[in-house]
Amino acid sequence: MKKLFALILTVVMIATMSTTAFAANTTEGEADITTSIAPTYTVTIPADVNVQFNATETSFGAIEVEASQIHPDKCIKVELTSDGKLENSIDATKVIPYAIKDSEGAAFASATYLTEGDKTELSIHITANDWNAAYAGDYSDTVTFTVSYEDK
Amino acid sequence: MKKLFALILTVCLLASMSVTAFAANTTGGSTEVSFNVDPTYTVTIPATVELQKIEDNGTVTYENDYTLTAQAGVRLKKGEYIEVTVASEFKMTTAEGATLDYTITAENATIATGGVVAEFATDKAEQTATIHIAANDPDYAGEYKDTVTFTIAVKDAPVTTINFTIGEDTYQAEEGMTWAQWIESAYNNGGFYSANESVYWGEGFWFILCNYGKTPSDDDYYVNAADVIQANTDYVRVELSEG
Repeated sequence: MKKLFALILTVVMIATMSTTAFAANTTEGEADITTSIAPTYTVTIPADVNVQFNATETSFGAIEVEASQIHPDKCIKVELTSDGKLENSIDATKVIPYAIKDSEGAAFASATYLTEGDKTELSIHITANDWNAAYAGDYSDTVTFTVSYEDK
Repeated sequence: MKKLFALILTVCLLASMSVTAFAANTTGGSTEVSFNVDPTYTVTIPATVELQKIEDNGTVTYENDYTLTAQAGVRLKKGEYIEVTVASEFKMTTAEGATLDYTITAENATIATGGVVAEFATDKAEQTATIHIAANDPDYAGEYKDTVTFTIAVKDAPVTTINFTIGEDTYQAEEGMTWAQWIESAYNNGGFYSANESVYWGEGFWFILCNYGKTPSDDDYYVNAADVIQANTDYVRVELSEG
């Protein structure tokens, strides 16, 4: 009984105790500053070009990055697709082969670019023999440039 | 059972005890009344701020305002204020390693790391302080982020010291100090003391402090210990027999 009474008294005493809260003099907090910048780029590709008769090399303009704000681990890829043949407008079986080359004379298939100002000069090459073997008439072809955003 | 009954009886006896009060002819007493009011404040710091793209005449920047708020009811000790400083390297980065420097300005002044961005005083009303964060257009796209640390500290207001003279001697005090406070402070290096609301000085004989240019017929001839000491003011010691 004594022990029970002592226990009850102890519990009552503890229950009535209080603590005072003081305002701390110094405290810290963190905040995040963020901004999200989406990738943007502008690439120009060669326009239509007219190849003069018997010209073995004709400038085909340039692929050029006009503006670029891309992720550091990404690049802009430009691929060229062409069947390499100018077709006669009357008879499609009559063709003049051609090649598109870069400024170093290598056949151009694709290239990657990173920043504004990156460019590749292109030219159209037709051999003298192919000119000599060509039938009269108008010839044309369409090349396709595909621009994509790729990992480096 | 007996013990329980005895306990109950004891409690009842204690509850019913009384004391007889006798009316005294003259009595007096003093009771010290005191209470403690703890300083309290709540300063709210937003967890994030996202800079927004701004384009002005072809120039692109990323900017935003950021507001710190002291909730209504800041209560500090007299002379204290809350100072908020910021620690930062002022450089956001992306996961790919691109970086973007930014600035924090407060009241049109660029803040350095550890610099003060806000101050709050005791006030029942809510208080706010707005800072501006800005960055130029970066080279790379990406998700840029930086974490800054705000430190909130309770500070003592800076003390302004004033000068005054007593005769040919120059003394100093804190702006707003009364003579009574000055006498108790370290500024009193002349041995002045207060009694009966006046200020005295004595080195073997008694002098009373008076306002310069006043006469005994003026109400403010004698300096009162509750008076605030005036800056750049002359005071004069007068021999008590003369006052």
